[in-house]
Amino acid sequence: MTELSADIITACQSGDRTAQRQLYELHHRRVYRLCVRLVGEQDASDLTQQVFLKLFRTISQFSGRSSFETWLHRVTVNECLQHTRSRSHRPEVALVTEPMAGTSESGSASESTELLHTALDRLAPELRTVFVLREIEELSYSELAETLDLSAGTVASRLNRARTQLKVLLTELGWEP
Amino acid sequence: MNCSEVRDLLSPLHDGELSAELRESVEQHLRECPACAAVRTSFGAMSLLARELPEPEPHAELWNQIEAELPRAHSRPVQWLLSAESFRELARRSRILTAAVTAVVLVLAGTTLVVYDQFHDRRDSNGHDEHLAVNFDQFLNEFPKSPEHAQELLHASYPSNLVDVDQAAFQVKYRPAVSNRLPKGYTLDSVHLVRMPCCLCVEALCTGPGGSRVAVLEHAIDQPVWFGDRPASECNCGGRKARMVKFDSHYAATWKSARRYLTVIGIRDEDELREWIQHLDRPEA
Ligand SMILES: [Zn+2]
Repeated sequence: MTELSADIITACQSGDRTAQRQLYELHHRRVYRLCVRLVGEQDASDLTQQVFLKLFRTISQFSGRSSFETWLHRVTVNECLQHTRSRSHRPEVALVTEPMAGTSESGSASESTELLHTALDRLAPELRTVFVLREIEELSYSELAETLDLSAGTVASRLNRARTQLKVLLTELGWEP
Repeated sequence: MNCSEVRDLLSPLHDGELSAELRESVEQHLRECPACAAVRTSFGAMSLLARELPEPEPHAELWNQIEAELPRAHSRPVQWLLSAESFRELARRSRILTAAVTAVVLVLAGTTLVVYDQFHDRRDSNGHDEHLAVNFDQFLNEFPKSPEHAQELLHASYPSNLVDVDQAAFQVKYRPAVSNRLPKGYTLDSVHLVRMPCCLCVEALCTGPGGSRVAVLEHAIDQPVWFGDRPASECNCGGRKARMVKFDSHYAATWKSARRYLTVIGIRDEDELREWIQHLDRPEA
């Protein structure tokens, strides 16, 4: 962590509103994007809000042992997984939909991303999480291990499973690479 | 190495997390085994697909909602700081690289966070919005000839969706102004949501008396850049201060409503603008 972001975090720890907003401005796109990919666009705003409220409430416990990014990912992933679990008790699971999927791209590209959406939604939450953190947030294996509390070996096998199952789901949906 | 051992290593290989030695053994196997090679290829195709997912846009009111839930706190001006991690995040995807440029400009200027509220306005000077200006310029030039074609040009540049007013309201989380009564003789032809760099914009096309056409855009952030270098005049209309520009034989105008900005394109004169302001710009229910 740089000295600069350490300053923001220290200020946040004393409840400084300006620093809180700075932290939000620096990180909210990442948090929102992760929430959209993990729980769907419909609930992503609420989840993002929950993540930041939690972050500000618990930031005094942030020790700096892991990077702030890792901590942020961890809080976001946990909130999303918790949300997914509570949602799965409901009779109808809301589909991950994103009506604004890139319509300006050529038809086939946006159709394929729609398929990916649907396939990701059908993947088990733990597998979806590791795939999204790797492919969209571009975390390394050591960052994944730290964020998800896994060994590097488990990260590798979970990613293998995620990709293999995703491939099956995509193929079922008619995807041809 | 057998197939099963290789399959376990395909993700680490694909993600660049294998030692040189193991990589060589796995690649050796892949050269000889079409089945494992096909799996590896599919991993690559899925990575490309994941990269094509559109970047979602958080809505502009989000901070206000968070702040409303925070306990009261003191505030002091803090230097705008950009951490290395955040820079990496900003630079991660080229499509938001311009945001990084803006942030760097702020840092270089030694700007304090006090100017944060002008942050969005400052984006007008960055490349992204200049790009927007070019697209919008085309839109304005084309609009008098064919509003539909102008619209197509805009939609070719930004992801857009044809929606009805209710769908639009659901997406942008406010009631679009065009759901109010329109000026006399005008009907609503279409409503699109357009994902612009500034925000998710509600874009509506209307037909008026004698077939005249007017486009209405509702956006979270002022976009003076849309009108490029065209000379603008200010007008006090219907209780709002509007900026008007002339193009062809028509006008476009922008004003700030209670919570957002409204832009109308294709109006004849100040009187018509006054009417649009009176109709569109009503307090929200
Ligand atoms: Zn093999």
